[in-house]
Amino acid sequence: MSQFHSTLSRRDFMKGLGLIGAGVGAATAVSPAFHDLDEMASTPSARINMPWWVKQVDEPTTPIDWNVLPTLGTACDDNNGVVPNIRTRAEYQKVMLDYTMKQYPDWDKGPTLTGVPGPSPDLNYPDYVGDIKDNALCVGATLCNAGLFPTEVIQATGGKYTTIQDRPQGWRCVKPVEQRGGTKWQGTPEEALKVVRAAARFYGFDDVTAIPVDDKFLKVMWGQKRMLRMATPTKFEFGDVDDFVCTPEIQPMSKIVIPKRVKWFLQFSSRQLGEVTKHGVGTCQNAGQLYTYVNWIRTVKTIQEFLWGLGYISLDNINGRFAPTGATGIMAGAGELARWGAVMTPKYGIMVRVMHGVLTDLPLEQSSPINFGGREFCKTCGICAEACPMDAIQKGEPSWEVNHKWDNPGYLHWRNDRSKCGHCPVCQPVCPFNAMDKSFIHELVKGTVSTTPIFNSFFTGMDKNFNYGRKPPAEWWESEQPVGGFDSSV
Amino acid sequence: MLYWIGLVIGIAIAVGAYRLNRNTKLKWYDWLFGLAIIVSLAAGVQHYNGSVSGFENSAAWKGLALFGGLAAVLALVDWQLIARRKKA
Repeated sequence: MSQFHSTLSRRDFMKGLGLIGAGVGAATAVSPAFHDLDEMASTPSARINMPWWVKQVDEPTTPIDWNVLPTLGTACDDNNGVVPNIRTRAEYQKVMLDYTMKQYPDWDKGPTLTGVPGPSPDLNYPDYVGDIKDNALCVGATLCNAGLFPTEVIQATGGKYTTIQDRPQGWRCVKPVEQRGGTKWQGTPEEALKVVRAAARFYGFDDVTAIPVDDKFLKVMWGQKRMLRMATPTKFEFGDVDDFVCTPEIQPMSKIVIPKRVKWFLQFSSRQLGEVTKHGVGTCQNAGQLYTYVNWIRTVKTIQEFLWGLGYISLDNINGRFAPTGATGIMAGAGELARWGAVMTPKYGIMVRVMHGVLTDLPLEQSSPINFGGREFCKTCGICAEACPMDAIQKGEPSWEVNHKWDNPGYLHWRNDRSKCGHCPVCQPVCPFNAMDKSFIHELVKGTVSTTPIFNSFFTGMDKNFNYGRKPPAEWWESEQPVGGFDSSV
Repeated sequence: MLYWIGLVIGIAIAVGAYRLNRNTKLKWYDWLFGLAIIVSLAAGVQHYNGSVSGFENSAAWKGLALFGGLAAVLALVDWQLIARRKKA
């Protein structure tokens, strides 16, 4: 008779069973217990649609000294609110062209991007993103980039309207719901967040969370801030008004009075087209970034229309109109503040284009900040800082010290020098947390990083060894990319 | 379709391995080796497919080499352990 099965004794088998049983028991003891599916579905982690390894915490992982932050402070308005670049346009272009040619000696810089909103408007030192195909991909993303109307349309309005951003309170394309034979939507704050989340995801956003307009929020909210390209700063006040009162009614606004019943901030983020961004090469950001600017501004305004359709009002925070988006993103639990200076999300890493949000009078369930080990990972990683051609991202440890007038005090972070940043295509694609293909390894790594930092430097090394990050530009044209630019199943 | 092909190949390998080794005495650690080899191989294949579908071709091959190599080393070690036990 074969002895094949006789090497494992019954005694050993029972011992093994005992060990497995003990393991399962221990795992059960530390796992969350649910009595039924409804209970499981209504847990906060289920509501915010986050991976299992994301922990909800009381405070953001970035330490904030609330005592030094003024309530409704004033944003730096030096240089008309724009961070000046320490390099001339000529110097910046030379650094980026040298950097690119060193990496890809045969790179064809192609036509200029002159006329595309965002890239350099300097005719002598324009931006280049590569050969005619890469260039055309950017040109295709020009239409309504940043919500900007075509010149002929702007001229037809006599210059009154320039972009879809012109109405911070939304365009309100239909009459109020009461005038359309209905009543405003009613529900609990939990139901409201679920409804808004469903709509926001339908329109294209994720990480839909909410926080109240409380004392902490007012400490990160601006009382005065100048929007990009605006002639004057805008003052923000809360007052006894029924609706947002913008003075003047159209941009540039010098004052916006916010109704006191507007007590919630609704937060959402948009994925950036990752593969295009990873293949981006040149002196400025690429079609991935540009096309996301076409989409996200439209989507913010679309969500405002949705809220209006429900019977509620809102004020957009496009381009940090009234609050720094990094602060709102981490307070609302969309992600953690990462070394590169913006929010890193658990699912998409830093391949997101800004945190978005609106102030609204729709009562929403409060979300918590999250911790998935992202900031801790940044401490040992630093791949983005090593990659930055401009040396703009701080290496080493985070600091409380403010080095520039336009930098905000009150939080312990890497103090990046934005006056050196030229918005090139390098740092964003190299973050290890961007890895989101369908390999099991990323779940395993992210789950481990969330639990313990001891393997972080090993994972950083593995990311480099496996060649994640940036890729040669020509490869993108050879690959069959998913419709819309990203695989929505990951 | 690939599922059925994989299933048939898997059954064929299992039957073949059983017939070849029916007279081999296995220790508890041989089973452990076997489990580790199967897990490594499965990890390698899943990583390869997942990475290729995410356009990470370089990572796909390196991961397959890493996990596949681990499986190969484990298989070699266990094969030698079994072979030397037989000789002794």
